[in-house]
Amino acid sequence: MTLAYVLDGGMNDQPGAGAELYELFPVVRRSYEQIEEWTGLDAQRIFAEQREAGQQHRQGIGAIRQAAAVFGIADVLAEEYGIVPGAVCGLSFGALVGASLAGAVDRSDLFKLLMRMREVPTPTAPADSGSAHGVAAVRLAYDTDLEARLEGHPDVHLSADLGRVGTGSERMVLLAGYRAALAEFGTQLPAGALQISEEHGVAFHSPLQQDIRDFLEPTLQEMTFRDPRVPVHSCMEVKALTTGEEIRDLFRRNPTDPVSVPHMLSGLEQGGAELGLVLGPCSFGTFLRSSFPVVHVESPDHVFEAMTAIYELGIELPSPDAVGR
Amino acid sequence: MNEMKNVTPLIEEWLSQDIDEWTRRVVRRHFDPETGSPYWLERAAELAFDPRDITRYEDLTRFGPMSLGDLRTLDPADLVPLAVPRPLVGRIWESGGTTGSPCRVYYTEPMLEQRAAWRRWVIEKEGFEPGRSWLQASPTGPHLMGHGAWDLVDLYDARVYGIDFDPRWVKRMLRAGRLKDAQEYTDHLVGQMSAILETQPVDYIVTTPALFQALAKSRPDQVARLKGARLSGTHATPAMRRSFLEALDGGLLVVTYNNTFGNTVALPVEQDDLIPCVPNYPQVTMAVVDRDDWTRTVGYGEHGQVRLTVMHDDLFLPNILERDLAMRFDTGSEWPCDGVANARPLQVVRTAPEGIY
Repeated sequence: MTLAYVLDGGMNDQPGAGAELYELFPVVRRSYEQIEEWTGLDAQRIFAEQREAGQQHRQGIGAIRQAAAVFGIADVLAEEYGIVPGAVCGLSFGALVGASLAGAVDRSDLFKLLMRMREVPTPTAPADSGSAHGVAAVRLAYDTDLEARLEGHPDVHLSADLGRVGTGSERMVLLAGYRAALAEFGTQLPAGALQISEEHGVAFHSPLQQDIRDFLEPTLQEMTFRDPRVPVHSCMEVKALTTGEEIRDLFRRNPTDPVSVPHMLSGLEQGGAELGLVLGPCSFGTFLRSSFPVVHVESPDHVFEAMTAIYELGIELPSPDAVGR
Repeated sequence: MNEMKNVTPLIEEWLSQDIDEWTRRVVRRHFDPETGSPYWLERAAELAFDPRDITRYEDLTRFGPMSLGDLRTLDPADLVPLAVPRPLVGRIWESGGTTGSPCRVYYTEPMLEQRAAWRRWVIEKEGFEPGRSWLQASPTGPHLMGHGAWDLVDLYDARVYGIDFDPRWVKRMLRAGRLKDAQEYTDHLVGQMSAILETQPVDYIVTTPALFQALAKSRPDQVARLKGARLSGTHATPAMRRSFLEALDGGLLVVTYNNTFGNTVALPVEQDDLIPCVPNYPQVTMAVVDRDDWTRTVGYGEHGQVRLTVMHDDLFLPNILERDLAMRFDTGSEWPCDGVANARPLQVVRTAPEGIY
């Protein structure tokens, strides 16, 4: 395997994402027509709609916008340029989209699931109450034993390990839990090291989201999960997922289990990735510490950069037929 | 080896230069009202400061980023001080043209000699033997890299086979989305390289990492027979470097980061995942800067955009912001300047680096 598609997590869904490709490529317009059939949301609404004040991210259509943009660019690469991946890997929400790109989940099923996610009951606790959920970013010395630090803090959980930052002597992690517990934990760190998100009242990737997992379970039961055409590298452990059941498990665990960029990149490295194309809207810097080069592909301009990387690195592409296109 | 080829005193002299003093020397020459370079004298009139007041290398940021637009359109003779007798006779060199029309520069004889001296010095240091046969498969024509073949002949008693590679054709194919056509062109070049290697006594190869990779895939037997390879011109990754070493089966391997404006010396690889280089100081210096603030040099080990400064007596190009991302590399006490490691293309992306949700 040489070429991998890498997908970032959710919340990278600025209005307008995907619109440029929609204007330029019929294959993208067809994709948005299908998405409208499955979701009832037309392309212009997908591009433009913003969250209403007080709405949680999952209640908006940002995830649909982001997924649609990723499928758009993947379709352009495949249909217009014959570029298809030898493996796929996504972070959090990106893992779900990646599984679909790899053929393990029908796009129609994925978009129905995303619509269902919008109906997850909203947390009702006021932000200043002890039971309000939250997420916090923390920058730590790389060799900090986080597990040990979290002992004695049962309401604070590792949500996401975003890997090394800066010179590499530090790493960025997200912690999830009750806001009050997060704030209390922050008092034990250097001043300013822990920043609680004012925007998100959700404890992503933590046991506090068990209710969401339970809410989505019936939908996941009804969905068909097939063996992916190419390996899907997990964001939860260093592992290549190759069966439909493993993909279903990934979907199930996604709300409650921590995710890790280092796990993603290690898995891809072990799988032989020589180039990563980071598709669609993303925080590109997150992936720049991979041992293999990564190229961000979101707009038509980026296609040339992707082509140049494929050419210069001598990447051998699988045939589109071999990956079932 | 004749005396002309002993370049070590020159290199030692350059490496011992104080960068602030060198800055004053070059700035003074280019801004001399009588004998300075026409381009910089014209620019001086628009500047909010008197360039002759520049006393330190760090002050060069006051010039702002070098306009690549100017380098694409001006007569390159205008960058050369009038102290160099007119009319200028010689070659105009052009950049690859990756990001648009090519940039053009004129290299005076001392500049070509400086470039060649560094190559001569470093090739010996790297372990390549004089008097050997080389195959150079690289851009030629307007591209300075091709001139290296003459340096090998003139300064290293080499016999050089040549194959011409037109990088602009490849870029054109890739821009048009014609990846297969670009790869077919590579096959065409690899075929020519292979034909020479099959029948001729070639010891060493000079080419791009991309072409070397294609050759190693196509004819591993021929690559394994080589005594060494010097690679530059396209980007290489640590993984590629490892695979090249394996393919060379004990042969020498040097991967450097070079372009039309300045070269680097490959430093010994002490960490498997780093490909460090140091520029041809003091005429060429590099800083790794914050992508969002090109005046701020990042810390050692951090990644950023490569900012290149050229300070020849006859060519002054401060603050060229390369479309390359690299790690700032600490060269320690052995070298008088910073190095760069693992250079790769810099993408202009809309999203924030290291963002979180």
